[in-house]
Amino acid sequence: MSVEDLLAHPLLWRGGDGGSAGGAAIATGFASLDHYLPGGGWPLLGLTEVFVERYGLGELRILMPALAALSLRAAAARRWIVWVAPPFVPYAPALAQHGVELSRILIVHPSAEADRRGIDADTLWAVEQAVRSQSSVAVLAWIGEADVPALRRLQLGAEVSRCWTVLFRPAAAMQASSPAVLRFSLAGTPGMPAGEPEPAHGMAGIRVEIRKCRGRRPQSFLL
Amino acid sequence: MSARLHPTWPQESLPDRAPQTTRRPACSLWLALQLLDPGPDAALLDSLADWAEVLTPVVVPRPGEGLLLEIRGSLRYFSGLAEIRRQLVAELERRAWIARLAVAPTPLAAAWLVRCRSIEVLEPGMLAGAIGSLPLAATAWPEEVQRLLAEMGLRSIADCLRLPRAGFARRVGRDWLADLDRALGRLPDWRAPRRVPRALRRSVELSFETDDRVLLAEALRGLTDSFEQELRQRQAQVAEIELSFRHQRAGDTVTRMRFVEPVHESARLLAPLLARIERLQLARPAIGLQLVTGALQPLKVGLPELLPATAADESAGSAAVSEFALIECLRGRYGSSRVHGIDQVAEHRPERAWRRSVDRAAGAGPAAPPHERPLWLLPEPQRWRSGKRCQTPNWRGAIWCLTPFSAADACFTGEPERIESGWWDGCEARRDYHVVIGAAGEKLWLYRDCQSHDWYLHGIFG
Repeated sequence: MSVEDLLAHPLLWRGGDGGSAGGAAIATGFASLDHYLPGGGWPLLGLTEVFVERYGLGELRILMPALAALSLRAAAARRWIVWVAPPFVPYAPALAQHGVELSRILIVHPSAEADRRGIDADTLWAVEQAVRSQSSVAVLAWIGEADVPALRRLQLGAEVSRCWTVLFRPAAAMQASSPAVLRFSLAGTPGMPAGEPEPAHGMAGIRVEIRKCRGRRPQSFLL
Repeated sequence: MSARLHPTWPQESLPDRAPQTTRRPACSLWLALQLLDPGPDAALLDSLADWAEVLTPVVVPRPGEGLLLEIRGSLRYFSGLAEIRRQLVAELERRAWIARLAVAPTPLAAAWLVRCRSIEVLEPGMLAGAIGSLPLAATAWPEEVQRLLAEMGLRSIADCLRLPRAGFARRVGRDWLADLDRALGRLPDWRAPRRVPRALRRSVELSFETDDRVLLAEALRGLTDSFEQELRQRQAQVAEIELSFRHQRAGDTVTRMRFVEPVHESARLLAPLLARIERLQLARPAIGLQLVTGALQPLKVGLPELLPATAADESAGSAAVSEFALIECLRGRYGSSRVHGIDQVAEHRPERAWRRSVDRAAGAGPAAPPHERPLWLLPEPQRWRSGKRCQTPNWRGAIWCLTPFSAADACFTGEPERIESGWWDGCEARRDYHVVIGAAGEKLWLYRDCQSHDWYLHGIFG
C-alpha cells in the first residue's frame, strides 16, 4: 500500500492540515462554524458529543440545518434518523418548520434503568444497533453514564457506517476522556436586552464552546 | 352398503348410455406413486408431497398409499415426462425409498394402475385396454362389491366394462359404474390439490434444561433456517411469529412479534428474536423451543432499483439491508410501543398537533403553523410560578428541573399567540402563548390560561 493510498483512507488524518476527507462532513448551516470545522461541517466519521447543562439553549436548533439536509438524503435512500431516549417530545410541527422530513424519523425509548456499574447500557445498545445497522443516516442519543470502551465501539461503528452520531451528555461527563472527534458545550447568553427584535427563527443567542475538535484548537462562537 | 348393492333408483334415471365426455381427457396427465417401502406413513407421505411441489402445483395425497401428481402442466417446463420421472426417482433414491410409478390420463386410472404395475399410458384411447387387464382388486372397491362381482364370474375390469351399463348399475351399484366412467375419462374427476398449511410450526427439544442464551440462540437459528427453506419452497412470507419456551412441569413462556413488513429470510426472522431473548427473563430453564409463524402470505420480492437512489448514498453495500430490519430489531428488545415515528396532525391545540405513527403510513402533513414552535414539547404542560422551582417528569421518567426565574427578569419576546380551540370535545383550550427567555438564557414556550390566568410551561426551544 502506497502512502497516497494511506492518506486517502478515511480513517487516517493528518494533524497538520486537520482537513478530513471530502464528503465526510455535513454543512452546519452556520458560516463561522463551517469555516472552523475541518471538512467544512459536522464530522460524519466519528462521534460528536454535546454537553447540555440545561435544555433550551439551542442544542437542537444548532443541528437543525444539517438534520434537514440529512433527512432529505434519508428519504431518498430510505434510511432513518434515529432519536434514542429523547428527554421530551420531539415536536413534529417544529421539526417540519425546520424542514426536517418527518417520515424518516424513528424514536426509540429504551428503558432508563442503568446496569450494575451505573452505565446507561440499554440506551447504548440501541445507539449501537442504530449506528451499525447501515440503515440510519443520523443518530441523536441522550445518554447518561457511558464507559470509554462503549464510546470507542460507537466511534468505530460511526466511522464504518458514515452515520452522523451525536451524543447528548450531561455536563458532568465533560471531564471524562472520550474518543469523540468533536465535543462542544452550549452556554446561555443571559442579559439579552429586552425589546430587541427577534431574529428570524430565533437563531441568535447560541453560544458554542468547542472543547475538543480533531485538527483544530478549542474555540468559542456566538451564533 | 346393502342400499348400494340393491339400488332403488327410478328406472328412467339409470345411465344406460355412457355419458358424453364433456372435456377431453387428454387435457390432463396424472402420475401416481405407490409407496412400497417404507410403509406409507402419513408424515413420510407429507414430506414427499412437500418435495413433490417442485414438480407440479397439483399434488393430491392418496392416504395410506402414495401420491397423485398432475403433470400435464409441467411437461413443457421439464421438457418431457422423462425428466419429471428422473427427478422423482432421484429423490426417492436419495431417501432410499422404493415406490412404483404409473402415468395415465385420468387420476383414477393412474391410481388403479399403480397398485398393480409400473406403466405409462399417455393416450386416452389406450386407457380402456390398459386398465382392462387389471384385476378387480386394483379398484380398491369395498369387499362386498368385489365379492359380488367375483360371484358373478367377473375377474378383471375388462369383464366389468363388457357388461350392459344399466344392468351393472342396477345389480352392482351406480357409484361403481361412475368410477369406471371416471377412470376412462367419461366423467370429470376433479381432485382437490393438497392444502398448503396456513402457518408453519416447528419445535426443537433440547436434551437438557438450560437458560443459556447462547444455546437457545443457536437452537433458534436452526429453526429460522428451516423456516427460510420452507418459506422459499412455498414462495411465502410471514408477518408475525410466536416463540414459546417449553418448561418442565410449567406452562410455556410465550412471546409474540410482528414484523413491519412480511419477511422470509432467516436473518430477518432471527434478529428481533435474539434481541428479545437477550432481555427476556425466563422464570425457569427451558427444555424446548417452539416457533410458530402467522398466516403465510404470497411472497412479494421488490425488484432492485435500476438506478441507485442518489450519489450521496455512497455505501453501496447497504442497498441489501432493509430499512425495517432496524425497527424490528429494536422492537424485539423494547416492544413495539417504544419504537415509533412521529407525524403532524392538523390541530390547533399544540399537544394534539403531533402523534406517534406506528405504521409508516406518513402522508403529506398539514401546513406548518405560522408561528415558531418549540422543538421540545413537554409531555404535560407544567404549572410555572414566578421565582419558584418548576419541575416535571421528562419522557424517560427522570425529574427535570427548570432554573427558577421571576417574571421580572424574564424576557418576553414578541406578541403572544392566542390559541383557542376544542370547545366541542370537552378539552377546551384558551391560551396565550409567549416565547420567553429564562434567567439562564434558555428559550421557553409558556402560556397563560385565559380562564384561570395561571402560567404553564409547555415547550422548550431546544
